[in-house]
Amino acid sequence: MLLCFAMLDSDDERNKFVRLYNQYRYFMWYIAKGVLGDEYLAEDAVHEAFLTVTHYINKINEEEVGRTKSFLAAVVKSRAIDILRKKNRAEIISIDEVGDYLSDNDDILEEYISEENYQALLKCISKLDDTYREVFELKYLHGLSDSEAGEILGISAKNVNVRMYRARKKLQEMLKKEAGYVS
Amino acid sequence: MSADKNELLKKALLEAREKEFENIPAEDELKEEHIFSMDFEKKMHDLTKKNKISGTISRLGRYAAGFAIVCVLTGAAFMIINRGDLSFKKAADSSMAEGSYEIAEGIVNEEVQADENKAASSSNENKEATYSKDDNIYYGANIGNEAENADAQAEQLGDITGEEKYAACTLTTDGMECYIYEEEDRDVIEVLFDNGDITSAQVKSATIGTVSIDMIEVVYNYGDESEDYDIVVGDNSIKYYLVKQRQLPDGGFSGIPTALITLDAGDISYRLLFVRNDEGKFVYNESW
Repeated sequence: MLLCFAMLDSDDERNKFVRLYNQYRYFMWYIAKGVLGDEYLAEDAVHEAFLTVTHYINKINEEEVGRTKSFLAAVVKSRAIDILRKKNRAEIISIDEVGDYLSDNDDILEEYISEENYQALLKCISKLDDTYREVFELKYLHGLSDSEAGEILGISAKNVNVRMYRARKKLQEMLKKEAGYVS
Repeated sequence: MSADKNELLKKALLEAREKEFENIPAEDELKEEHIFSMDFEKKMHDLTKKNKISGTISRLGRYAAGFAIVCVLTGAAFMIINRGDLSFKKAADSSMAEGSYEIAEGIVNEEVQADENKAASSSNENKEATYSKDDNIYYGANIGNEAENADAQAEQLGDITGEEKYAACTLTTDGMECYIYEEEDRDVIEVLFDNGDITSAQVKSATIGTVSIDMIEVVYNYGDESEDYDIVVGDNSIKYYLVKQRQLPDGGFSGIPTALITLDAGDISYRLLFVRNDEGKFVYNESW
């Protein structure tokens, strides 16, 4: 915990943290409530999320509202899931058995993404399971490392890589179907 | 993945999420749906305190558990809220700049005297930083009542809008004072709010125009119900809302005592929220 506090070591960071809190706490609470179905557990998730945010305060560009919201949403949702796990005393998400592991370089999406295909891409991403979307967002939108994304998602860095692979694979399949690709 | 495709993917990820967020109710609606609990507010308050974030973060459950004092002052008024045995009255004229206090009432002992000196000193040291002027609007504050931070620092408490009106608040180790006045008129709303462990509050005096009232005492008997106090003088009024703490089975009390003071002079209003810390002192929390 003290490590978290130490992350905010300048007035700018502290002020930024306060601004984020004031601006997005209700937004985050709403998302957490959607996961937990309980308004007070949702508060816990928001609190935990803000503790996490202290680590990544410099990754947040407040001017980019969409990205900021996306990041905070991913964090608070993940903390909400943590709470749900504890509540249920069992891991409810166990999609990350290490098996079909591929490196980042083995990109399987390349050929399915194009300007012409953008609307299909958008549609597929909208339908993509949040578990996959979040890891995409953390890696692509926010530029986090596997270990950083893993900290936010509550999984190991290796599992982040696995999840990324599965996310790509899933999106590839959806794009194939949506855009009528023939593999 | 190539850079352009990478950007395309990012764009799609962001756009998809933004569309989704459009479905989230507006903050005002969410505020109606939910008021953050005192437990949550305390945790966040502690977090920011440990981070030494001054002028912290939230409007602490203004109508929730705990107690709140809302003073609505229309027109000009002068009032003091204090505990009774540690009350300092500051003249409504320019003596504020002098940092001079007179003891309005109460027991004068060494501790009180020490506090008085500390407050006067703190006020003087920060006088220059306290006020700034921007398009006929004054704002500013001295924050000096953080228990762990005796060194007062100047901080803007909030933007005040209004034509030809001035507002300023000063926090010292002994209390908070607010002024709202028009141009050269010294019709003043002044509030002195001490840092004591408030178990009772007294309106020592209130002056609205030329009519004054004295010594209205409010005693906090911890209970479950809130009480309203409405004092009307002429066309103006001062209103208190007290939301009492609830006594718990273990003898403790629920919630965090808070004090919300609203200064309202028609087209200009200013609210300041204080929260009582673990040491029983009221600490400036937020203004808007």
